[in-house]
Amino acid sequence: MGDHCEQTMRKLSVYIDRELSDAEVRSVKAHLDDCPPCVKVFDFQAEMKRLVRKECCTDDAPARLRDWVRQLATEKPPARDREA
Amino acid sequence: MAVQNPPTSNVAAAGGAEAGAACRRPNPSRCRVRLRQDRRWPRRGGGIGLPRHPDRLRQKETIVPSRIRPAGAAVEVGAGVAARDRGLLQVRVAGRIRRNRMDQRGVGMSSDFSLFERHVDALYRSALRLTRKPEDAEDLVQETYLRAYRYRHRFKPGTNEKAWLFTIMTNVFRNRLRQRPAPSEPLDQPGTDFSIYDQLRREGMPVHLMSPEEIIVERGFGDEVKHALEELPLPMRMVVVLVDVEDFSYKEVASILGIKIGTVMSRLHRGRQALQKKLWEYSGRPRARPVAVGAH
Repeated sequence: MGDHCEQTMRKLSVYIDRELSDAEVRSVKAHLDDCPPCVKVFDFQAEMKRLVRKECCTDDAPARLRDWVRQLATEKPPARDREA
Repeated sequence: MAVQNPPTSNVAAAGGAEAGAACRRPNPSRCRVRLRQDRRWPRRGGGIGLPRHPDRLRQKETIVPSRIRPAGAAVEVGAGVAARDRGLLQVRVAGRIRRNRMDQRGVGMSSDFSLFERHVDALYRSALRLTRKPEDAEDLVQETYLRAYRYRHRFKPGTNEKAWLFTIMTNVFRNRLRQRPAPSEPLDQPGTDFSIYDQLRREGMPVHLMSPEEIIVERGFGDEVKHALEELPLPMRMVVVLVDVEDFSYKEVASILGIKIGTVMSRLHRGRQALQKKLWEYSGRPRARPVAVGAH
């Protein structure tokens, strides 16, 4: 594994999160263009991130909670207001 | 004589102002004595270096964010400054609540609260990951919205309302945890370099010929993501949820949790590796040896 691979691997998750600076994005992209093994790792880590999001987004708020919040937004403060 | 609860509107300016307000006496030496006595009171959540009188403590167990920036706005994240800001803010907020409580009660809600309403699903699913129990999650979200409602005048229109709500929720959650710690919270642990991909490659699986989806489906890694996430120690879990599920930027997460960006990144890194390790264990594989990330 070359130096470039190692550097890229270190920056990979930050790259996936779109938090790298433009210059670093360019260097990671340039390396990924030339290095299929690193692309495979990139694909897998990006898929893991998508997976976490997908799996966790299945829990919607219960209807009664949603109604309660809507009531808070549109009517008088609800009865459950607990004073500190 | 007990210390008077001062009108707090003028308390906010600085530590000196609080000292002055806590002790309205002509004799400055008396002030010093009183302050030193006051130091016996618990110092909780304050950043301004002065103790708070318990009368006032009661009103401000929650830090209310004032400065969530819109996504992408430049912000210096300095823990010390943030803490000081929050300390001042708490004093201000407490004063305002007291003054405005009558105004806020029973008044029909202005339409802008509907801006917050749309985030109920996001708050609930994150609350579920934090509390791990539906009834606790629902309770946490309700408390969050109540506080958002009560402090809505603190929200600056045009800034990121989702981040504002999440700041409130994490503060409420942390306060609750302090009051009654969850019995079975996993302890924070040092990071272990782990990557499912590298592990499979070591086993001789032809990962380079498979799509990531195939790998995940074949080994059933997708089935237990929620469970694995909830097994992570809280500091890591919070960051992974905020970044990976809720799509906040590092900067926003740093602001929501009141930590440095570097801390966000290291918790995220450790959290993701720990998550992959849990998924690996759940998928019925033997316990993995640590491997270097990215070893080809």
